[in-house]
Amino acid sequence: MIPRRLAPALAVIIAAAAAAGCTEIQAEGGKRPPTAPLEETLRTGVSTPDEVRAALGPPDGDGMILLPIDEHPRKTWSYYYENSRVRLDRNPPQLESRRIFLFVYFDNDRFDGYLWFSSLKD
Amino acid sequence: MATSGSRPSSMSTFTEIAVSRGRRLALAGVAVLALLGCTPPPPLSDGSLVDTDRLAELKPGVSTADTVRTTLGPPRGHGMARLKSETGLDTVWYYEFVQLKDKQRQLKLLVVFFKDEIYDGHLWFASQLLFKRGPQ
Repeated sequence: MIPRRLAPALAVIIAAAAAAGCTEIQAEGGKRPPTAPLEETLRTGVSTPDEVRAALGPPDGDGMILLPIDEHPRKTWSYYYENSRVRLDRNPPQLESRRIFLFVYFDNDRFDGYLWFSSLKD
Repeated sequence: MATSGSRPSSMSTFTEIAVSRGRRLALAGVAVLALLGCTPPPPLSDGSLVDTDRLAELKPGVSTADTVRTTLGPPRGHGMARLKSETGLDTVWYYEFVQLKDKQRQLKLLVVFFKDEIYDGHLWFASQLLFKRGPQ
């Protein structure tokens, strides 16, 4: 039997622990980019950076790429999204961490290709 | 007087015992919560750690998807690639291994390219602690 005056304190402790994520910690980063427009909407050699931005959203970053198949450096945009959680109520604790990478390439200011890979569940 | 004097004393003792029990219960609750999850977690991992040395067994333009699966194991994800406008479409298998240890995240990624379901190349990179580390 818990004394009446201690019950609220215990409830606060449990609520605080639960609110602090003691059974599950979740972390999410970035925004999941769509991949369907890469083949369905965008056209290599035709689509502009503005059209790519409209189809996929703003990129997380940009850079340059020179692959062995390239004759000259190309501009690239990068997209990244991650969803991770740790289940601390499991024994042993369980980590589930999944992500998607998307790289978009431009040549002469036109959409020129892409690479994406993902472990996210559909 | 003795009776009336002992009455408050036993009430006080009862209250102290009750409060003491309550405190012990509260402390036990906190201890249970701590054991459940408020303590730092042990090293955690997700995905499969591919032995990238085995990529040498694969031959671009020759090895089939079945051979890749037998050599590296089943992929964790997939993807697509059109690396240049004039190149065709590649399908992609994606392998990843994530480890949380000592407040740091280690990541090892492997991307395998297929053209017409035949192995066409790969790309992998890893955090230093997982570099070249095969299955444990």
